[in-house]
Amino acid sequence: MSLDAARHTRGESLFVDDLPQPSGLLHGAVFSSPVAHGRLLSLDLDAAQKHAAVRRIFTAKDVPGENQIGAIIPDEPLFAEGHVHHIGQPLALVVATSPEAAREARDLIRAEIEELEPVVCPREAHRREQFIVPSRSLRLGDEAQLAEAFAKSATIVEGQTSTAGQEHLYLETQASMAVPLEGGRLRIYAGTQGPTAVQRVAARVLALPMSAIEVEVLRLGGAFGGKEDQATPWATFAALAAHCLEQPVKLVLQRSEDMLMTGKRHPYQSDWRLGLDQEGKILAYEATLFQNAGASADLSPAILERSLFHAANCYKIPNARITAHSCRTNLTPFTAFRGFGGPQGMFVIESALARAAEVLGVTKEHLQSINLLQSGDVTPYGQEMQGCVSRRSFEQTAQRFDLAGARRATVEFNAKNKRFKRGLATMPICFGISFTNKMMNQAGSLVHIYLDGSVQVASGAVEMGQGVTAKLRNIAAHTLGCDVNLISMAATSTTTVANTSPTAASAGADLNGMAVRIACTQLRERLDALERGLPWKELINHAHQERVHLSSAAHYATPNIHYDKDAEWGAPFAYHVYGSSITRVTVDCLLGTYKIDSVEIVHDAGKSLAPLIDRGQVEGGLAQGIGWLTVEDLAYSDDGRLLSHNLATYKAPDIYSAPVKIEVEFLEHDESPCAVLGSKGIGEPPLMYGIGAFFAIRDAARAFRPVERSGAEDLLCAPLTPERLLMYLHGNR
Amino acid sequence: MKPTATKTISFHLNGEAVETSAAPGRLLLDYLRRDLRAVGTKEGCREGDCGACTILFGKHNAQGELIYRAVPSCMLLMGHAQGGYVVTIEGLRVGKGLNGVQQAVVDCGGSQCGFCTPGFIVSFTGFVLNGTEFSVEEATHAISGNLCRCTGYVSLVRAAAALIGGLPDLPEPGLERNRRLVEAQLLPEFFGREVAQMPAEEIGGLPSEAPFVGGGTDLIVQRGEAFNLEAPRFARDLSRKPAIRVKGDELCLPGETTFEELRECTLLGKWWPTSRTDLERFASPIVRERASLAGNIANASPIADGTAIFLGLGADLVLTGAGGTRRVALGDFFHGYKQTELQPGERIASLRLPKAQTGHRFHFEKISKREYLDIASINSGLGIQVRDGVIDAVQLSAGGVAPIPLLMRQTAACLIGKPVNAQTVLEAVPVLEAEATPISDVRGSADYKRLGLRQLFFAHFLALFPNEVDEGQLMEVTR
Ligand SMILES: Cc1cc2nc3c(=O)[nH]c(=O)nc-3n(C[C@H](O)[C@H](O)[C@H](O)COP(=O)(O)OP(=O)(O)OC[C@H]3O[C@@H](n4cnc5c(N)ncnc54)[C@H](O)[C@@H]3O)c2cc1C
Ligand code: FES
Ligand code: FES
Repeated sequence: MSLDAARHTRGESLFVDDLPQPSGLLHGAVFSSPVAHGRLLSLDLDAAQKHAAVRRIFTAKDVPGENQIGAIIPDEPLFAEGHVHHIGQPLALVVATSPEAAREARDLIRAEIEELEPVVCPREAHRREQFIVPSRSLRLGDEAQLAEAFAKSATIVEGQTSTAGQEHLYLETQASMAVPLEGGRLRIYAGTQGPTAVQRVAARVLALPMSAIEVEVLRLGGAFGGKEDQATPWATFAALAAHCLEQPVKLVLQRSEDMLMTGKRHPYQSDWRLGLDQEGKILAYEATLFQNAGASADLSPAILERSLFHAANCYKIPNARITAHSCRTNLTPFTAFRGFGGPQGMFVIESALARAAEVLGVTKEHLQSINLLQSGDVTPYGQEMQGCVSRRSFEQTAQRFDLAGARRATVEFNAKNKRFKRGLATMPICFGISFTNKMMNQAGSLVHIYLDGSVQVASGAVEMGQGVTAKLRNIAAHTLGCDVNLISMAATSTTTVANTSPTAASAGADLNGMAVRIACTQLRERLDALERGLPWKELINHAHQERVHLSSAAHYATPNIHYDKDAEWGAPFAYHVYGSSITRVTVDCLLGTYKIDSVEIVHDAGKSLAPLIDRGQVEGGLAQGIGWLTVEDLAYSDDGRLLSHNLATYKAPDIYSAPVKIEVEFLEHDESPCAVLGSKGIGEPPLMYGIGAFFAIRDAARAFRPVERSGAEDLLCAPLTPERLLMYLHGNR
Repeated sequence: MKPTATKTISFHLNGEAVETSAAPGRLLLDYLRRDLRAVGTKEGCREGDCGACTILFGKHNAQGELIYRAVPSCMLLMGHAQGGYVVTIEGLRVGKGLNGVQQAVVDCGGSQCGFCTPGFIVSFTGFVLNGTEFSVEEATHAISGNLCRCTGYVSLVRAAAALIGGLPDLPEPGLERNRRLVEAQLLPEFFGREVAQMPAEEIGGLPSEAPFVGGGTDLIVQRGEAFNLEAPRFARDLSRKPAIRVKGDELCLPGETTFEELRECTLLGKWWPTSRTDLERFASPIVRERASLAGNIANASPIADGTAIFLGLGADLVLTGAGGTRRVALGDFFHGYKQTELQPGERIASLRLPKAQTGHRFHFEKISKREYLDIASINSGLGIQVRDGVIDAVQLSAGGVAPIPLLMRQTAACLIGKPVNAQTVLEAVPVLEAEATPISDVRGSADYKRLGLRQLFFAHFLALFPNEVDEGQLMEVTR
């Protein structure tokens, strides 16, 4: 359970928009481009400026420092200037005495824009050579070996797949409040996963030293990657206005503003070719991924890298060439989302295996099972697998949940029924833990023991429901050897722990947990040097008398990870997380609707720091993964306008879309030697079990309309909405 | 229009009387969060779609007892709150610890980021207050208007089971039950107090050009913050629960009837046996508490479920206005996109269902992206009368395939006089497809809607005539 859960249920937990309001608080609203691509000719602010409640309207020319927020590549202005590159790109910030007035005035602004042709398709951007960064390729074996492996293959399948984007739909929309302090300093209460990123960008935009800006995060109402880089502009807007007006300013996006203006999971398209031998063992794999990055880099290059790293999922592939293009289009820049490009890469190889199974006349689970990685195998990015439990988790799932029996039951049901068909899919996963950017694999902590024995732990980790504070608290209590109730967690702040990495990459508890563990170990060692056997409170009192330092700051950097980008070879991950699932569905082939009957999972969580939390991460990640590939449908018009920009039109899973039955078993495991107290990161990997839902529905659809009858349609295009499914089942060919 | 009157609105909040001059067109949600800083109630969408803002809203029933229901506070205007009893998450605290509902959610891991959590606690509390059957299914249904992006819901279903397991024996909903729940520390003390009914008062200046609000579930979404400045007219007197009644042979449904009242009404069975389950797919329980029948029809949305259902049931409307009262067939009510028979100032007083004929059958089906809590891509109702194996009368409706909710007269005509079998159904398909003129939009492509309509048409016959209509034959057809 999350540390905050009790408070949540009593309605006592505060989110940014709930914080006590400082007097003189002003409110912001953002005016953004109504056009996906164009030349900005003029911005008419007159009517808005005349609105009685408006204090000031900011545009690019009001930025005291650099008008630049790009994190990896400086290619994203805070306010668009000269050109607009996507609908929803900010052009002006209206600050007024109430949020309604700010929005009302905002709606009076007119932009004159000469429209240019927008590009929304990544393949089109590729054709025009519009790239965010140079394209990258991973290889196992050289080109000649690849060609030879294909030549030797008994079966070759090839095709195309696509996965769409996904709205994060954190229940708390983006929100920030900036409060001027004395001497030109600022405090920003930001809804961000990356306080340091906000601090750094705000300092750059305001031409202030980072030391003049404090960023504080109490908690987030969900984030899922959507508040990693995407929280920065809103916090920066609030900071800009508060700094210039010398008054506190709050900016809270309404749901449809948030959906229109913020980035989402990257859509991908891909071409692939898979060669297999007589038995179905993979000999060669070739894939080209077209990432739709949107209008600027955001985190796209890092996400592209993870797509490459996970393109082989958990399969042994002796010869491979995997290429990825980050394609610049005129959509809102896409961003981090749980899995960070990994799921998109995995979906492609799963598609190839699904086709191969059909061609070979075997089940997909059979092909998966005979191609799983083992310790000692080398991945296309050069890492030798260690402690690999791919096979163990697959086999345990198959036995524990009777995979063979489930398949038999499915076949029997389908032979007897016309309207309803059942489908089944297994989904083994292998996910690397660590930021792929080595520099980011570091964390800090600050632990104070107070005179009464109570303890405060600060770290760079942001609590967003994933339970990191509860885990850190357990680590601190365990290491200090005191009662867990004595430990309180400080709000995450750049003043307590500086220069932090965002809480992301499933590594929040790993990195910050290590930093907390080191700080607590230091304290414990200092205490152990004193008299032993005293109760905690007396011990602390005694330590203070003895002038022992009762505070400790620590730093942790993940050892032994390295990656050579030029060679595209190395060991970027501290370790991998494994697991396997079986998904069963029933499709109503009359109406094209479906129900997820069950998902059964064996997941490798190492030695769990908090089993209830880890279970929640598996269940929640699974639901998001299923949503991504089934009902969550970002509809765009041809001119780059998001049509599904509210909850009436964008449908995330509700309680009735949840699988009827979910069973999660944790893999019996030797402790992971690589992360804190033998645990493993848990945030992202379970999302990928959701891929099983797609292939289970596809399995059922194929039972109704077999391959021979379905012509060229491969049904490898996600999400598999009821519309797509019905068109496949009964549509024209 | 300027806000009329500085007339005060009075209601009860968490057991205490409140008076305010807040504009009647403001959202209760905004008033709670902004004016009172009661920030436990969260804003997730302002459209009734997420449940983060759920509160309890109490009204007196016919027996004079105060009955609380969970509703989204973003779907309530201040004018609606007049004379009502509002309970927010702050009002559910029992002492400093956790009440039974809260404990169950905490123990089962049902709260991660916590943003959705107050809404779930309130909806669960609504279930404990009103539930007639304490099963996990019913508890799940009670929270089905609440979205959670973190948990994947499984832990909340576990919480439902734990909650039910810990409930004391409970009498019928009402004061006695509340008191039992107070004793069991599931509710704070004020729920056990007897509360006199407040006199109902009209709110708003009643200028005739002001928008006429039923539950507001369509208008609030359409108008957004513009409502703050208007003085809407409220359709329903809070103190009176409209009664669905049989009048002669007809069933009379007052226009202000909410869809939840409709779902709970047992009189409907003769006309529409599956009303209870069919209506589960209308919005969510918390929105159905607000959404009215008249609003659904008057809004003239081509995909309104209520409209499609009552077209299929062959309903008439009774309209009242300055010029008196008149009756029109629902099939003649819609003139064009969002254009209806309603004259300025006129309102829908009631719906009438004609005498239920023996052998009459009715089926409703809808396709939406998400099965529950989603507006239809297309929907359809079929009312059909068969005599001696021959189709005698047909009312077929189709939503989402034309600018108005469509009564498929030509398709109906082509079915009349024919035997009920797959052959008849298939022969009608070209007429059905010609009669529909769908367009592509965010809810689906025109091709999909046309295909889907055919499938709904099949579904009607498969559901109503499983013995006469061969499933295999209908499943085989492709386009
Ligand atoms: C989250 C959500 C989910 C929804 N899901 C569904 C769904 O599944 N299916 C569906 O069909 N609809 C759905 N709706 C739409 C809406 O709830 C219904 O159309 C509802 O019945 C409207 O009733 P109301 O009383 O709230 O109307 P209001 O918003 O009050 O009014 C709507 C219109 O009707 C007029 N009006 C109201 N009462 C009268 C009257 N007595 N006489 C004349 N005119 C009147 C108003 O002036 C206005 O023009 C949903 C809405 C929301 C917010
Ligand atoms: S805020 Fe989402 S239902 Fe009210
Ligand atoms: S706990 Fe985060 S949305 Fe439900």
